[in-house]
Amino acid sequence: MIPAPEPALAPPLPPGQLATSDAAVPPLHPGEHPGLVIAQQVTGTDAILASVTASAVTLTVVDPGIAPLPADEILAVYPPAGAEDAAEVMLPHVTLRARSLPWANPPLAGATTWLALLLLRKGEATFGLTNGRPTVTCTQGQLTTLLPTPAELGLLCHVRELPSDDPLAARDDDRFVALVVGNRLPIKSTEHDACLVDLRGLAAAPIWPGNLVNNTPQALPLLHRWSFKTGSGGDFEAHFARLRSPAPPDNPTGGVLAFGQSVDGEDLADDDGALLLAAPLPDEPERRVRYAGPLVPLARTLEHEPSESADAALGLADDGTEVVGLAAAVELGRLLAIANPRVLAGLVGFRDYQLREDIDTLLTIEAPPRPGKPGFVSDWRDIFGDPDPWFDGVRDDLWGRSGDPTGILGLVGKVPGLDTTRLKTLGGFQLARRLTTMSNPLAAPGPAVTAASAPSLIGIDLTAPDLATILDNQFGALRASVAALGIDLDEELAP
Amino acid sequence: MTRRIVAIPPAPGVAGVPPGYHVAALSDDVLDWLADLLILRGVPLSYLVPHPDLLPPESIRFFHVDPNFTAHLIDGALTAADLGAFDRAFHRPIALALRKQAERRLAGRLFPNENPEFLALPQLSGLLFRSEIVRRWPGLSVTGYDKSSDPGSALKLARKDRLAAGLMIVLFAGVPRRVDIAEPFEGARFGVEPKPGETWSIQARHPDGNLTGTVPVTVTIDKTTRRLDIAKLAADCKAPGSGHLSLCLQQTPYVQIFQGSGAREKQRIRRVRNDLKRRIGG
Repeated sequence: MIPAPEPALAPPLPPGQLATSDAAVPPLHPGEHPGLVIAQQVTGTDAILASVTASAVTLTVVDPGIAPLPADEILAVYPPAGAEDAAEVMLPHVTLRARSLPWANPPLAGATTWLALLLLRKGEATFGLTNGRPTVTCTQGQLTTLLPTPAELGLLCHVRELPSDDPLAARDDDRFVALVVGNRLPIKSTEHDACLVDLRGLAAAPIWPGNLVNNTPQALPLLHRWSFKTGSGGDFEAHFARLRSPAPPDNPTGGVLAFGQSVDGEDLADDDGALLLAAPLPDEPERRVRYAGPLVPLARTLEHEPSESADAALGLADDGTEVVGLAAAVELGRLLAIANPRVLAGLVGFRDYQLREDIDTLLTIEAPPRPGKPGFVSDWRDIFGDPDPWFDGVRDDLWGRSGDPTGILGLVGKVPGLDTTRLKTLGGFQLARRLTTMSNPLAAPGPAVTAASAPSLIGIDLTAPDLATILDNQFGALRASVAALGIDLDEELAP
Repeated sequence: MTRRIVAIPPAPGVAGVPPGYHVAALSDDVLDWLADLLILRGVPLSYLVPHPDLLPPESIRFFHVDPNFTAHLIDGALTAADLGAFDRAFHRPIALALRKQAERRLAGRLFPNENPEFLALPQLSGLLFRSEIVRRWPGLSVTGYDKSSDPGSALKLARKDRLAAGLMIVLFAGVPRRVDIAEPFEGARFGVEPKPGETWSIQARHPDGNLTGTVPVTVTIDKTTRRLDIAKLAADCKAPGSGHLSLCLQQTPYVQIFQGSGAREKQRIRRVRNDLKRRIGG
């Protein structure tokens, strides 16, 4: 007889589907099976290519219940082994790799299987070894009340074909598994043992029909055992039911509300999500500030201008209370950036580049039409570097007009805390770069550059031949600061 | 000769950058970091929830993300790289551009198939979920829908992170009208539904898996041992075999649905209207 194709060769079930059947009874039970005849032929289109002569063999099927099941025979257990908060409304079950395992041995009298999943609370049974194999021991009276009846045993074992998207399918050899389900629910906040037991030893035990006072110990061979503990709150749904309906003091949950609301109906924060927080100062211990974080109960639009510092983002409420939410955001953003060297380096590089762009933009000179160069537009570096006397007037005008083509000096005294000393330490880096760039054409040999009266810029003689060295000395402190950031100033300043 | 000083004109809007003002592009990793600020990644919990009463145990709080706060986070990051007074004078246009770049970056991550030139970051909203549920079911799924009647209109999740064992933050790219929180799929589970009065039930199913009706089947459970009367249950479910009975006992993941009533918005509008009336003497 040609065997039917293995189900594993059939297309797998699509995701989201499953198929169940009541049993997968193997054709042979454990034991010796002599006289089996095996013959095989391989045929081509019109001829027999190969053949194996029929011969009688003896097949030995090993009893899968003679020892605890190997770990790879157990695909999954529920609740997970070692779980601390299993739901008390779910039945335990074990998933077996061999789909025929529950029917691999002759069944118990009146049943269709030889095993069961027994759920025991801590203390209800003892575990030990009997004849060298692990067993669980209860009284026969206990088993009467806990075990499924023979008629129920078969209802608790079934075969399941797993869909292709089931994680277990990847671990199984043919996507067909056997499941054995328990018949008893766990109780809240209690340790339990789930035991897959071999029931064949019960054949002679008087547990069915029930004999509740029978205290005779009965050891059952263990095929697999795992432990778990139940939680106190029920399943997912039960938790949500409690969360949805706060009813203090019996159910003191926080409920489901908008941010800033409380269960008792009192708004903790205003519509902007702001609330008063204690912010004591040494001389003002009762100081309170108004803080609104990023989470607000009502939608808001972007309406605040950028702030260049946390102080600039401070606000004042109508009642005189400081409003610190945005200032806190600025300071937090600054601290987060500083805490991340990679980000800080990236942002410094960005601002460095951007600053140069800004300076170039600010100082672009739109020159008047020049003979031979119609529409000539140059910037300040070209003008200072061009020896053509034609530019003398431009140079004179530029220097004479401001004495500071960068405009930086114009900010001294206007920006809080910016004096010339600060200028050197804070903005000197950029200025140095610009001046270094500018100094090269000035220092280059060639026709004499018109000695325009170039006023010193923050005390530096721009026409000095060793301008780069002077700048290097002038901005030594800056160099150290920049080095701390991991930037190679020499490379940056290289012409 | 004229000296052309390029004055920075006022921004047409806080979300924009002055016309003609060129701002360099940031590196991808820095942009990603800034985009993460928009979804509050890295923001300590005390900044999100400045008072414990705002998020008590076993609670869910729905919120909008204030774009002013996140924009100022970016401003702050920019100040960390402040190079000096001259640089500071240019803070505003750079900050505006940086805000925009971060928004576009986040929008690009959320909508990778859209043209980035036309992408705008929607209003961000979300929920904070502090509960035993988060601790026990960390894989729970959260889906927001912008139309309560259209399950296909799921909003993009901008963020879904556990901030602590029992605390989760979820951000939506948009404002959902309905939020589904679903139990994670943990494989097959068999169980019963508890009902008031210490009774239990299940929903019987046909062999093809479809429900037989809306009336649940009562499950007989011994109160002391909590053992189920399996034979009676199989008979009540008209499930003569174990394969069919397993379908009846199988529990599907639970989905908790929240639908907004907009009551708070209406309340606010009413409050503003009354305030206006009071001010103009109406």
